[in-house]
Amino acid sequence: MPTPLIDPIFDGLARALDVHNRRHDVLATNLANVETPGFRAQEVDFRSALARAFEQTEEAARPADLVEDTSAPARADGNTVDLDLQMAKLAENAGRYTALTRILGKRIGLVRLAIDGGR
Amino acid sequence: MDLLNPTFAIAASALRAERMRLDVIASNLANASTTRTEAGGPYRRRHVIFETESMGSDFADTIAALGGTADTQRGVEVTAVVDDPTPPRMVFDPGHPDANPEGYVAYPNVNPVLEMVDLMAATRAYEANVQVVNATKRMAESALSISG
Amino acid sequence: MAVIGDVTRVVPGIVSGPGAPGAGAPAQPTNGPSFGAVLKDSLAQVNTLQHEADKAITQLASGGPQSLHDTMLALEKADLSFRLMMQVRNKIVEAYQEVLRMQV
Repeated sequence: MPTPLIDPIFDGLARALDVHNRRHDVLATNLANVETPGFRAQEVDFRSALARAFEQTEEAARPADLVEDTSAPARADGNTVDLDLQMAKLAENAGRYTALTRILGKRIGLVRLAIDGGR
Repeated sequence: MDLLNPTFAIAASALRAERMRLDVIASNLANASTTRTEAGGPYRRRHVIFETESMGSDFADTIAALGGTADTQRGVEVTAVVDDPTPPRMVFDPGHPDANPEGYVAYPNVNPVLEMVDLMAATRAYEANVQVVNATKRMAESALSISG
Repeated sequence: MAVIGDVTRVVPGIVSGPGAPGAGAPAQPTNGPSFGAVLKDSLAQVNTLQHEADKAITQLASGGPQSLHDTMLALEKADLSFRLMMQVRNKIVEAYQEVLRMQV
């Protein structure tokens, strides 16, 4: 009775949300510095972080790795932030975060129904 | 300014910085033909210096210890507003009240075309960071729907 | 949450109650932990989750290193485990009352 009552999917989803949160901050930092001379855009290795989010190991909770974003070439002042690209990533990331929270919410609603539904 | 999500502080710093930059550009454009200033001589073009700013919070160490996002939260700030050292534009106009003994008038070293390019870049950056605020708000609101 | 204290007092009493007379009732096969032990475990877990939820709330409220989704999840976990425990308690009380009604 102790562990199964809390859905193991919850923890995986929570870690996935953490990954999206972290990426959101990195993208926000990139966009804040779009005009800062010499600023190098960063990314987050979210694919591997998401892949291990649902494992049962210590690794599962490790935050996503920071990497340099090499998608765009440097401008004259050394800045590598491509505004349109970063905006697209921001929108996609925010959309997935929102979808995951809704999924988690639905899941919690179902578990609650299963618990209360008997009465 | 934490407001449930530190990301707001990052975007806010950019909005502030770009706003300051827009003010300086506006001043340059307004004074593009000002041949006489209080300090003597023509208006001197100014520009802003942007630098990355760490959004250090009181909890930065705790966040880092938890493997959190302190290292990913960096905004931007205007660290200086400096004069452009480029010499003024000399235009031959002996009849002008501000003409020098050789008949040349010193006009500001402001190139309106370059200022407009800067203006557009600053505006785009400002709008992009407004979008960051909106996206952050949407994400925070959706997190509340976790209660099913 | 004073309710947890109340339930903790009620439930162990009920668990040990019907077991005590046991006259004529065959002994339960003891494979794995007893029902009482499992119940105590889940009560401890409910308590832990309540504490974690409290911690998450205070950290969020004081502007600490707590993301909103983690806080919401901690709240929901505490809520769900508590609801489940209440349902289990109700079932136990029902079963006990039914046993009392039985003609011997």
